[in-house]
Amino acid sequence: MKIELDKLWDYADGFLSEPERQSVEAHLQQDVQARQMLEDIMAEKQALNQTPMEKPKPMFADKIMAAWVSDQVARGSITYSVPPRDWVLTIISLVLVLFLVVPLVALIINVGSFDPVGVEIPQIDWATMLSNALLKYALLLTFAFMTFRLVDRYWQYRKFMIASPYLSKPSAGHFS
Amino acid sequence: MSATISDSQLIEQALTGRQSAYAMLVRRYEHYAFTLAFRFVKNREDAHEVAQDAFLRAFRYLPDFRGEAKFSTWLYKIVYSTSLNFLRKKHPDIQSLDDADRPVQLRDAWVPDAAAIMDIKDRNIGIQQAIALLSPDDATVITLFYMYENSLDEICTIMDLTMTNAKTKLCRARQRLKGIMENKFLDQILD
Repeated sequence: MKIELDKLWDYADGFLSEPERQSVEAHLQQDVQARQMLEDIMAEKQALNQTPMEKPKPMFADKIMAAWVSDQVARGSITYSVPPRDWVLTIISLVLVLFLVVPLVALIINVGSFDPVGVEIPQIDWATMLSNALLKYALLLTFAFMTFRLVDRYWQYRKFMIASPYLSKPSAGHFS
Repeated sequence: MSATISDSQLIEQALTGRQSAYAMLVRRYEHYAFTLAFRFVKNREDAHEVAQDAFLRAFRYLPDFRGEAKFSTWLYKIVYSTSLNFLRKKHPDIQSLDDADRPVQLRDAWVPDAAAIMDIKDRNIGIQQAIALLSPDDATVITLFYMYENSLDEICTIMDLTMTNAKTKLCRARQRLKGIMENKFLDQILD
C-alpha cells in the first residue's frame, strides 16, 4: 500500500492524531520510497523555514517611529511645549532683535522728518554708531547669537521628530 | 538589554508612554511585518506603506491588547487585515485573494523535491520567487506556518479562518508552491 504525499506532509507538520501518527511510522519502517519522500518533505520544510525575510528600506523603523510621534502629537497624546529655559532665551532674542530692528526702521523711514504724534525719537547717526568698536562687535555677536538660536531650534525640532523613540520620557515632549 | 525584555514588558512600558519601548517593538518586528505585507501585496513600496500603517494601528489600539494571544499574532492579524484593506482599496474589483479556483497541478509521477536539489542560495531565491507567484492568501499562510512557525490556531486567529479551512488552505498552498517549484525550477535544475 502506498502512502499519500499529503499524509506525509500532515505527519511532518504534526497534524495527525496519535493513532494516525503511529500508523504512518509503522509504514515508514517498511517503505523506502516513503522514507525518501519524508526526507524531501523535511528538506523542503527546512528550506521554507530558512528562507530569508524581505529587507525593508534602511531607517524604516525610524520612519515608523517618526510617524508614530507625529500621530501622537496630532492626537494630543504628546504635548509639544517649550520649556521655561527656552522662554528666557526667546525673550533675550526678542530684546536683541528690537535693539537691532528699531534703529534700522528709524533709519529707513527717516523718523526725524515724520513725526505724526509729536513724540521725539532720537536721531540715529549710524556712522558714529558703527565707528564705535564695542557697539560694532555687540551687533555682530547679536547676529551670531540669533543665527545660532535659529539653527539650534531647527536641530532640536528635528531631534524631537526623529530621535524621540529613544527618549525615556516622551510625555515631556520638550525640544531640550 | 533588548534580548532579555519580553514583548509584554515592552508593551507595559509603551503604555506608560515610553517611546523607546515602541521603538524596540518596531525594531523587533519590522522585518516580520514587512515580509508578511510584501508577500501579500507583492510590491515593496506598497508593503512599506502597509507595514507602517499596521504598526501605527497596532500602537493606537495597544491599550486594547489583552495579552490573550501573543503580541506577534496580534500584530500579524493587523498586518493581514491592513494588507487586505489595502488591496481591496487598490483593486475594488478584486473577487478573491486565494487560488480556490485555480487547480493544483502536480506532475503525475513523484519527482525529487526541487528545493532539496538546489544549493542553498539558489534554493532561497527559488522559494522566494515561487512564493511571489502564489496568491496573497497562499503566500501568507505559507509564510506564517513555515517561516514564522505560527501554529494552525494562530493562523486561524490571524486570517480569521476555521481550523478546517486553515488546514485546507495550508495544504493547497503547499501543493501549489510545490507545483510552481516543479514546473518553473526543476526543469532548469535537471537540464
